[in-house]
Amino acid sequence: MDDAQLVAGALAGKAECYDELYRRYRGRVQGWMTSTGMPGPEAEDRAQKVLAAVCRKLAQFDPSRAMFGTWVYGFVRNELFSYWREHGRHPEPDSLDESAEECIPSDTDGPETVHERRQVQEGVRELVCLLPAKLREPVVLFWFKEMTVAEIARLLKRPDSTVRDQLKEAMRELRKLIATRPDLAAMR
Amino acid sequence: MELERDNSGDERGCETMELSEEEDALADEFLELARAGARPDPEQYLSKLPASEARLRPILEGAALFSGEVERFKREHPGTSIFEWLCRGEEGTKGERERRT
Repeated sequence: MDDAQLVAGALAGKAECYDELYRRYRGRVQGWMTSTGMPGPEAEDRAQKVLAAVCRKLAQFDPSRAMFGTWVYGFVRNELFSYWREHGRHPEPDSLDESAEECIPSDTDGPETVHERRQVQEGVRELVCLLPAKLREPVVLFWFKEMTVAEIARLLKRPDSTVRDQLKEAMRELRKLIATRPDLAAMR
Repeated sequence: MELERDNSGDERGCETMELSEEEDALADEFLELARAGARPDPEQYLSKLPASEARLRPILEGAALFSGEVERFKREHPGTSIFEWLCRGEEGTKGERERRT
């Protein structure tokens, strides 16, 4: 069943649909939070809070307006803003290695898989982590979620022109990052 | 792609400069193509607006390099959503789960 079907089932009172949605999104919501630099335990607590809010407001989800994941991401963003307000800043990973390790499980994967992930971590993952927080979100949504500028602007509550400017600023930053990192030279 | 490193001072100055409408449109088009995996050539695009090279080159080259990394990820991780991978939780992505089983 896809997400929209699960939502319909949950709203019809099927507990198993709620369970499946929760199972699908628990890790994602937590991962979205840790990807912004939030510490793991904090992300776990706040992910629970987000999922509780999602369940409470499930009837407000309109599949004609957004994918379920995008709708959930709106709750994540609100929680992130709350976290950032409380901490007075956008969190940045203290250490790229630590940040990456939070996102990369090591206990269930073989050495080859870990090695592959490490390579990618040194590429896409590291580059994304190195971007300033304000640029990271538009880049991830544009390049990897493949959202349009208008969709990103709506989600982030920023003008279209700001999102466009930030995407370009991010490209300038990425070029500089690549140029000044000899360990990323293999990417050229 | 080799980068021209000796003009970084110029780049820094350009960051605060707004792009013209024409430059904006060209950069937007390049970004869209790069994201789509079309591998647009920065030099070809820069030749369309030679007077804007200093402002546009860092953007176009950054997009081309980043796009190359994204393409590499897709080659090395077929079936894996890069968005889900970046944001992954403990369960891994759908593609990875399928490959494990």
